[in-house]
Amino acid sequence: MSEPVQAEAPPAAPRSRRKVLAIGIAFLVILVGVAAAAVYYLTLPTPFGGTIKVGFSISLTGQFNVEGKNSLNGIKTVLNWINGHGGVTVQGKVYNFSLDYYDDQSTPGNIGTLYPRIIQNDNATFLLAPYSSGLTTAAAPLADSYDKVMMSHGGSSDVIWTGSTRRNLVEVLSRASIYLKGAVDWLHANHPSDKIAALYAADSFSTFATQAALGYAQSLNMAVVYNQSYPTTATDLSTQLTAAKNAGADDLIGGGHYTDGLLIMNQLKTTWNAPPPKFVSLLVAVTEPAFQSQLAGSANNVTGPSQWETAVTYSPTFAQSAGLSWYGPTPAEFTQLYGSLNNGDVPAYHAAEAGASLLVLANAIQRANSFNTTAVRAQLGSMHIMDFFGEFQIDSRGLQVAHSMVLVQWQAGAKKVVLPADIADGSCQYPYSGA
Amino acid sequence: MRRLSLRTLGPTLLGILAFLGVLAAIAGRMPLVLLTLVINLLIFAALAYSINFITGLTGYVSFGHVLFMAVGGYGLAYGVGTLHWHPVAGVALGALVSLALALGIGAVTLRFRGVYFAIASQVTALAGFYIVLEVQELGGGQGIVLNVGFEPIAWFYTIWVILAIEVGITYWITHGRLGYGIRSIRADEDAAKTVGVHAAALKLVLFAISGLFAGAAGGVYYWQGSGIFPNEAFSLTFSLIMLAMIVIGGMGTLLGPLFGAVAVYLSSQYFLTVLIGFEFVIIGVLVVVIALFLPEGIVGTLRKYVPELRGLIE
Repeated sequence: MSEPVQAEAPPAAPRSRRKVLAIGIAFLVILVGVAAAAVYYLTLPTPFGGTIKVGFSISLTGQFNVEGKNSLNGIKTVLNWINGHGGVTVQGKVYNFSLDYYDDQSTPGNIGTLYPRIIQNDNATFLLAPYSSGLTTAAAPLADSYDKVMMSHGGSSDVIWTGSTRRNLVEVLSRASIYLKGAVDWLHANHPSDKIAALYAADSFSTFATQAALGYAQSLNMAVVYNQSYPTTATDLSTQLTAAKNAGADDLIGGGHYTDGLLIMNQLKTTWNAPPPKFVSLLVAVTEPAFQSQLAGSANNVTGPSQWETAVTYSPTFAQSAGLSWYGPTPAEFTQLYGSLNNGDVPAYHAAEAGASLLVLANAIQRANSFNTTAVRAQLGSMHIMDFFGEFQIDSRGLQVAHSMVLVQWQAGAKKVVLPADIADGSCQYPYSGA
Repeated sequence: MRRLSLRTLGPTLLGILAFLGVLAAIAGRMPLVLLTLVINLLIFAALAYSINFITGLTGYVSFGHVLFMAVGGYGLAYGVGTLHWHPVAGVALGALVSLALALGIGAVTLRFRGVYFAIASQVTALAGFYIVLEVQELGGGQGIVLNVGFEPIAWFYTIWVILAIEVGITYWITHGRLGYGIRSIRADEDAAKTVGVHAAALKLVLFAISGLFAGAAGGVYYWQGSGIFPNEAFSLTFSLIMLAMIVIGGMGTLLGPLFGAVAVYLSSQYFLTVLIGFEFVIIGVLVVVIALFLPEGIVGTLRKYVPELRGLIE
């Protein structure tokens, strides 16, 4: 009998080869797993951390009700933009903003009761200042006392920062003392022999702005031949305008707010005509569209300083060319969003400066990666950025040093930005014709 | 003269002192939100008592009382900002300057009566505004910002002391010989003179006291505001609020100014969140209704219609 023939076993793969294969497959599995995890992780939304409450009082009634409502609308517009663009990220978590505000009736006496309520009862994490220098002055000590960062958007009097020490108060807008600087600069560059008359409202802001401009003009060896204030309730300025004309003035600067600005322009027609002043630059009133609609032709060639106009050309590219980082919407996006949230209204500069205060705060929180007051305040102190409102940089006191005012001028019924040249959409026309 | 004892002080004064005593005892433990509310209430009560000295007790309506409040504020600002004094010393300076000013103004304007005095008092307030605009040492139109902090406990005890003294002086005046003379002036000044009341001197003393305390309360108000700005400081609204408080509470009474301050100030806080902007509409209507139908204010009306309260409130 023959021995059964055992079938020959297939040759076994070498042991080392199988091992390599197994390791390769394992490696591939791990690689795919890691990649999948990475893709999953990267596409996962950042966890929502919560809401940052920003508290403030605002003037919805009283003498600042128009500016206050505009400011509130600006803040709400920026809030909408920030929350609609992912909020801010702190410690790997996303935070949205919410607002907590009360009407202060434009009365400083209400500030002392409202801010403790906002901070203690409502637990606001950050603060915005109220509108106006007087109300901001009253609110500032509370920010230090409660150790909260407070962004100032409507208090521009330099003395708030130069006359006192306010650790946590940060100014976003240009200070009062440079409001009329652009007008003086333009006159000095183009008509240095002009004699200047100043007629201005006797409130803190108007006085500070005009006196600073006069001091600046005199430092440039320009002649100031008339310098007079008037009460904010004045209804007749013909005596002062006649006196300014008789003093030999060529140019008129000053004003205060809308009503008195309009009064000056109307009374120029009868008191200082043939010829009228060659150059007119008035605070606040000139930026209002109603200024042109009320005065029609006599508004032409009148100039006025503004913190911001929709025509400004700040942009991410502009920021890049200036070596600055950009944050937030462009001026056009802000204007468009503001209009869509406010029945097509066009934002005035009060809206822009108030909105910018929230925007800068959001950027500082994100950069600080913290809600800690000291960290955010330190970040605000070292930031130099650009947003739709312009540049932001403060000195050690919290006073704004980088933001530029713009000079606007009505030309053939249209408001043009004439200074500074790099964001202007027109050139300054001279002289004022009176009609 | 009667000897002072707890029994002779009367329930109204004892009640007010007890109220103030409780506030003083718990001030340090109050939540800050409540404390700031109480401080402002006491400031407005102090202002109401100040105008009560002249308008409430003699019937001379002072529309320009805001002048003394503003001068008190400027005294504080000058003392703290220029002389570098402690704010309490600044409040005292403001009060003393207001006293001196009231003596000077009163010596002239108290010769007028009725509507002429009211107009004269308002004109002096306007003049004060224009003068401040021209005085650079007082900040001119720019105002003065004070480098002071948030000091609610200091504000509280300062205004507490001012108000307690005011209440005490109101009681002393209305319950002493001075009170007889003053009541006779309010009833019929000419008749009072004929029976030997030195009306001019009495009115001047009351006006000076009134100016002193309006200045003191103004000093605390602007200390709390960390600064003073002329447009707000000379606002006629303050005079009208002071008048509204004593009209609503009861002119010339001991308790009326406190009731008026509670009614006007606390309602103004309510209107910060509800019916925004309607505060002065409602207060205005209230003043008109009270002047027409309840001319003696809350205190007078309670005394008139609730006999049981006649001996309790004054």
